[in-house]
Amino acid sequence: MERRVVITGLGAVSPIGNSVEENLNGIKNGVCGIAEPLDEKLAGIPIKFVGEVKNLNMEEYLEKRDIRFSARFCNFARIAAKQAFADSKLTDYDFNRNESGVMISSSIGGGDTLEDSIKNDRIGPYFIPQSAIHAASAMIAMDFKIHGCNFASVSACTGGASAVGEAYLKIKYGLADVMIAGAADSALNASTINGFAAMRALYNGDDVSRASIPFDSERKGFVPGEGAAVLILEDMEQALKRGAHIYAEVVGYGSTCDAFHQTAPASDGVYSALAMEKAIRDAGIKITDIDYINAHGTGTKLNDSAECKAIKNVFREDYRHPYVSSTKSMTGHLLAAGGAIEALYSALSLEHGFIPPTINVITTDEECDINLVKGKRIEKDLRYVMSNSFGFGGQNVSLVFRKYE
Amino acid sequence: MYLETLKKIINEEFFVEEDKITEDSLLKDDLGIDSLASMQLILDVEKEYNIHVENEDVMSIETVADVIKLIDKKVKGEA
Repeated sequence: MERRVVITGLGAVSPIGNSVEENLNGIKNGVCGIAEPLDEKLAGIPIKFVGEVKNLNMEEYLEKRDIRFSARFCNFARIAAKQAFADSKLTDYDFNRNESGVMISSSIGGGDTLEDSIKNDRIGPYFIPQSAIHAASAMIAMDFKIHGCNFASVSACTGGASAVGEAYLKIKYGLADVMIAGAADSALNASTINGFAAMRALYNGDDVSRASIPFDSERKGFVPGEGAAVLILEDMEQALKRGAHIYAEVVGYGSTCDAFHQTAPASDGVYSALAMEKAIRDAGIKITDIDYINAHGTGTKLNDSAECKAIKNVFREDYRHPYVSSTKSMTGHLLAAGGAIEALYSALSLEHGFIPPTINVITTDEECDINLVKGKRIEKDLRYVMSNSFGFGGQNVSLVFRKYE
Repeated sequence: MYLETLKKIINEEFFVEEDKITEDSLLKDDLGIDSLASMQLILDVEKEYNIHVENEDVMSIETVADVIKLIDKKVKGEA
């Protein structure tokens, strides 16, 4: 028997805020989290702007020793998970911890640990457990004594969306009661930024208002960001029984691969379209039921035009029916954590009835004549929201969320 | 002498207050230094005293006094 899956807790740390409330205010009001880096370690990187997590007091959530011996992405993940778990109120409920799991993705994991350890000649016993991508899932399981399945879905920038999608399947098919799902990334270190810059993937200009402008005709690349988002997914029956607050329902998940190139998306958008179609089919709805698409929308030439083609492939003559926006215009690209935080933003959009804007876009690219929400949010009661995530390697993931009624 | 240095290392590395550290302190139960952390401690000690500690010696350490004995033995060049 298939079960319904609902979101009962949220946690977030991002360039636009260190709580769900701050993130909600941020995406409602078009707050830009992109700025010149504050971290001195980033002096000398070949770009001017990043999406940095700012003013986060980790000691509010974690012991000093934990902070020292964990990678930054892992600390972000644990903080977001602590927020989400407290928000879900599962702390006070005796759920089946043996039949619940944790799935936290990351794209780069402890890349900063790797770089710092080598630079400072400090490769100690924490080096491996600290830099490995599974570390966040393992630490979160320890924090909440969750003994069921535990792993990281690793699939570049679709990782966070995959984590939410795979966790949803676990609950839907009765393999888990609660899943702590999401992603964390902190790839703001010289090696990773230089790597992305060498791929000519980043905006390297000097106008912050033109740095992350998805779907704009003048877009020149993405702005790397950092952060984490964690969602508590739960069997709806259990959530209702314990009187949990339900943000939204997860109803569709589609996953495909272009099988085309190590980094470039297939320009025809056929398989990213297929991911969307699969998610819509899984949700059991018509394409025109989708009210809003939280796009992958990175601000690179290739991604945005391929995504628009894919949207046109799916929606055909109705391609201007769904509103589309890219919250990366505000946060920058959080890599794997992007898919997780955009799932969280999708849930917030449904709950609060609005479409977040794509800020700083002046002229929409001719190729991108989708129904782009620019500048300011639109207040609108939404029923179905789709979130797209695509990754280097051709991974495509689409998720569909429904307003909980 | 070793105790004072160890107190400093443990404080700086693991944020344990120095006045809570005595020779009798159990690394794990009193100071929260588990198996992984004790390997970090030994690494710090190796660097501080320019000594090499064998794997089997790391496994047998339970108290601060054990670490002091180990340092003493290695510094004096005993096998």
